[in-house]
Amino acid sequence: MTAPLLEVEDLDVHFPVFRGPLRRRAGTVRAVDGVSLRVMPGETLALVGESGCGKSTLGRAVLRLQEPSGGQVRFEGQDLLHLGKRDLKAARRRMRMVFQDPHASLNPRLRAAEIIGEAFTIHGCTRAERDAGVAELLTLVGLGPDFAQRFPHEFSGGQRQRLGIARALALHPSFVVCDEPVSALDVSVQAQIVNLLMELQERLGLSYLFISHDLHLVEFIADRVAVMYLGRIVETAPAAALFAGPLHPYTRALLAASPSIDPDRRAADAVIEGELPSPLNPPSGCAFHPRCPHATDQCRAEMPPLAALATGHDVRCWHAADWMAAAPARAEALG
Amino acid sequence: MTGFIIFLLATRRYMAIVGLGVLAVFFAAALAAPLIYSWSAATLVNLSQALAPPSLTLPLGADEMGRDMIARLVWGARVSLIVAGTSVSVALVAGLLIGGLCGYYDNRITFVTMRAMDAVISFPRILVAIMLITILGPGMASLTLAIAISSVPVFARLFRGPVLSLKTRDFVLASRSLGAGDMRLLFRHVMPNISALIIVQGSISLAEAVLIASGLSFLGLGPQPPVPEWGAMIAQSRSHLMSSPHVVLVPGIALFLLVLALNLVGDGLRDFTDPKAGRAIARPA
Repeated sequence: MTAPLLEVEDLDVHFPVFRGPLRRRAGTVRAVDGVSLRVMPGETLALVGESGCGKSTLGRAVLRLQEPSGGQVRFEGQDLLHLGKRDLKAARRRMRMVFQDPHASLNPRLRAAEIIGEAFTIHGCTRAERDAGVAELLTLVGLGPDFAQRFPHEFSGGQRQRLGIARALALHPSFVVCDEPVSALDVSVQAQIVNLLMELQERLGLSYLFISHDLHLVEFIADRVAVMYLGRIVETAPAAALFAGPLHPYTRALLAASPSIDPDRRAADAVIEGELPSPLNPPSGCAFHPRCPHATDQCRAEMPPLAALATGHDVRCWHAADWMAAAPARAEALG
Repeated sequence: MTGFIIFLLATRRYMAIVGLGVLAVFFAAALAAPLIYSWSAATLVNLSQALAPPSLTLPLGADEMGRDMIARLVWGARVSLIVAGTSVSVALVAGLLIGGLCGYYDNRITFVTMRAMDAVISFPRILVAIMLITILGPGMASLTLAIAISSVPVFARLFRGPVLSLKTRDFVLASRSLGAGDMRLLFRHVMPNISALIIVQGSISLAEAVLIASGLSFLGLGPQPPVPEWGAMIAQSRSHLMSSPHVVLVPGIALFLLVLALNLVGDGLRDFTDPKAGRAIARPA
């Protein structure tokens, strides 16, 4: 078995909260709390969850754009969290990010060539190398070298996101965090960008950590899926297994809430009610219990572990085994 | 520059164009001063024509020492523009550095620095300048320095705000994710995005600097006689205001026009650089 490209262990990102006139520490927001995950070479791991669950923070922490407060991140065999300035800079050649908002993520004062070429300048390439690289990248993302001298405002939303992707791919990284790369785009453009990302993955052997809340998109693009709820991973499974038989009540509710044109996939569970609880003051026991239709006393008292139910299928639920057993029956009932 | 003029014409901001014209005249006069009038014409005493009223040979008359007023006016424009220009440039650079660094780095040192800036701001600017000149001694150089130092805190505070908000923008994060260092982020990504603010604030501060410079010179804290500084000219001739008003009116009106022109151009620049102003759309008359 090959070694994972990225290995995250027990990662915490906690933010202290200060309140009142004396700015006393009022508590801690556990945006990411004890998350472990791994991404294999060439694989797409999708991270799904509703807004505020900590998926973007996790994506940033993995690249050390947000300093984690604890845990371990191993990338290409090196311990990312203990790298010095120089080694971190070298590691940034290999790992990148595509941002959600293609308007906010491009400096309005720089030309396309300067935006894409920045990585080359930072990592000490010559001018000739940079110019050649920029032209190559522009062609790679389907824009063409003619666009090099334009400013971001002269591009459409989809073109801007292509620019963002070209920037992320400069100097051949192996790992890209895609933080909702298409959710700010028109539906018609979304498909083009997703296809581009998949095509590039195949051509360049990239690994993606694909953050999204669009389950249809995830089903289409992901090899494996991790579902996040309130800073923790509640279920992780190969994409096919997850969509065929979701085990965590939250995952089931998510899938049920997502509109589908497939008549075989109807809402089996009640749609979840209520709001995401405050990560400043998380519920006792299982974080999902206040919204879970199946919650028992055990759920209210104790946090369930992330337990393996099948190969590569981990669920954080006390009753996961019951759902597993009930799954074929339910499928029959529906079928 | 051409873009700016076209914008002003298209949006019918005629006052700013007038300001630009007045400014051009003053700049030309200041630049050409040594070519039209010798330094001695502006400074040598000639009591035979003391307080001469405006005439063909002396278009603006002569002052109480018999010096040609127009020569003094032109040389005075030079002094004012040099003092204001230098002090604002120095203050802009220092203010940008302090404001930029204090906005970018949020720690104990920058906190103390900004509180020190606040302490300076709490005094009237002219008072700060007087204190500095008292220490440095009067003269053109110390006047320039005093104005520069007294405006640094204003710039630092003004520039810190946008830096504070710009540094959290996605494009800065994106550059960091490529491996960019702090200096690159600050000077390549954050600073260029406040250039409009720098230009506008610079032009308006120029007006303020001209005014403070002549105010201090009026008090005798600027360049010493016989250097023709407008504020000093008003101070020296003010006892003749009733008998020969031109000796006070000439530098006074010049000062008024220059400050007004700088403010008008500053307003025009502010509208020009504001993306919400709607460039091509003319304002309803």
